[in-house]
Amino acid sequence: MNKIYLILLGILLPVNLQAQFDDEMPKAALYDNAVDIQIYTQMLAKDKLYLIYNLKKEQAGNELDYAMAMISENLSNIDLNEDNEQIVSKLNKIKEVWFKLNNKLTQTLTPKEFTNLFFEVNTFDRLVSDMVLKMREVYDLPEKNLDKYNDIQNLRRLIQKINLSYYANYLGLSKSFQHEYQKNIDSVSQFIKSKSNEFLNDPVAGQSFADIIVDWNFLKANLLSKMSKNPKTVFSLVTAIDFKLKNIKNTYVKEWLKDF
Amino acid sequence: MKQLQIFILTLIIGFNTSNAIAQISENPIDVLSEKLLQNELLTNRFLKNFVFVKTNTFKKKALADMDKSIALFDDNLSYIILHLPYDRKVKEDFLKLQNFWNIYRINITDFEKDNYESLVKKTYRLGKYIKQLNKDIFNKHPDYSKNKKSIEIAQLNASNGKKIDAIAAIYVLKKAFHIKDAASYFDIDMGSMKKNLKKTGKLKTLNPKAKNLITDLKTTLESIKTLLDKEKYNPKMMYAYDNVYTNKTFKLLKFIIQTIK
Repeated sequence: MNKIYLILLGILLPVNLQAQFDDEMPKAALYDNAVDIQIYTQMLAKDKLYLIYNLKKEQAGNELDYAMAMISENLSNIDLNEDNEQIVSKLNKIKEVWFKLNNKLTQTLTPKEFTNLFFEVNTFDRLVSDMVLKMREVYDLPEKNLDKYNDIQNLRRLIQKINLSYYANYLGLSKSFQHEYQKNIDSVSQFIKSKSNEFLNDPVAGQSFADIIVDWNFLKANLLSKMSKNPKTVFSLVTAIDFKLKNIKNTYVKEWLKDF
Repeated sequence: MKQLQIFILTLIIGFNTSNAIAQISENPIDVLSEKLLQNELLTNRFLKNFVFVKTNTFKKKALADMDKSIALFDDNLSYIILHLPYDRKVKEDFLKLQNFWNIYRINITDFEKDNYESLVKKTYRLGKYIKQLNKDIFNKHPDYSKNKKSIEIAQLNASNGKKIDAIAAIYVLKKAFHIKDAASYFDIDMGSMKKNLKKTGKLKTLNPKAKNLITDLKTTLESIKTLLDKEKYNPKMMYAYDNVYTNKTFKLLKFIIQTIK
């Protein structure tokens, strides 16, 4: 009897249940996808460097796979949902560079080859940033928490950049990393100083942000310590901070998308 | 019991058909083709999601995709039964598929079990039922012959998407669960997939946007091939490539179906 019931149920199910694979993604979600790519880009450069030197191999390997998978998926989401010609033309360039970069990232690289890869990562990052700017210009993005969202995402990006330049400096790879490194530490410090109150009073970020400040202070002490240099600790702290920042940003995005 | 079941279903089908004939004559083959081919494309997606959930790879996404896929499959089946103006054979095929699906749906969402081999066989059977039903409906549809080319091209792409899901599932079954013979149940010749895309590109009436999709699909196919050739097991990348390929195929199907009059 159960079987008959199931069959009847199957037949009488409402025909208009909406579950299409081609449902259009809201622009706010596409924007979030694009900004996330910027963070994954920094992540993968850092992870590749850790992998080349066999440090934090498992975590870096997992994070690299994740970052690459998410970049592919996010690019595809934008591709499937974007009709604006200016954005599409930028996206096409990004896809071209990504295809090559993607292949390179799966290869075993020497430290010297990493420097070349780093330039390609920078090119990719520039192209993505350019698309993000165009999206900001063209899209009618939700106003609520947009500035805070951008701040949090920028912080995530900076933290990843700091990790990469810290390790590159530690390895003595290139002088260009040194300048980047100091600049990014200053930016984060400045941000924490000027925006702490705003984020500590924010109903979404609140307590998490207090934890982030504690983590950042500990990370900063590690970064600036002349006594001990420990890229493993830096990697773990950066992962922990990113996780908390990501949760805050996801809550903002969830609020944007709840009406869709 | 079985006779009673068939009797009730025949009554329902008869009732629904009488309601639906007017709609069929208004807009029949393109909408029907989309539903039939979407379900063909979805055939291996359930198994794929099952194995990704079990290996904890993008688990949340795989679970969400499982729900979405089941809902779409159900929607399409409901549509098909409401628009079944055909003969007894088609109705029997539908009944077989519907019966099988009702049980399969329960099995494939039972994540407590590790019955991979049984699920592979059941997925294979699901594919067989869908293929048979689709073949019967298309062959008996009055507008099929004049749209044969477009429908065949759409079928080739549904089949490509289906194969990619199978490849992703086999990849995980083999590497994570050491089930080596899963591949023997699926036709996964990647060379033919490339040819299918080439044929699709030659469809003259296709929207220019579809040409970009075809280029992307070719690139993704190459990336999947490279991933399969590599020694390193990378389920996250496989999940992403599979998603990119199948989601773009859904869109491509829409463009191809637009060429059906």
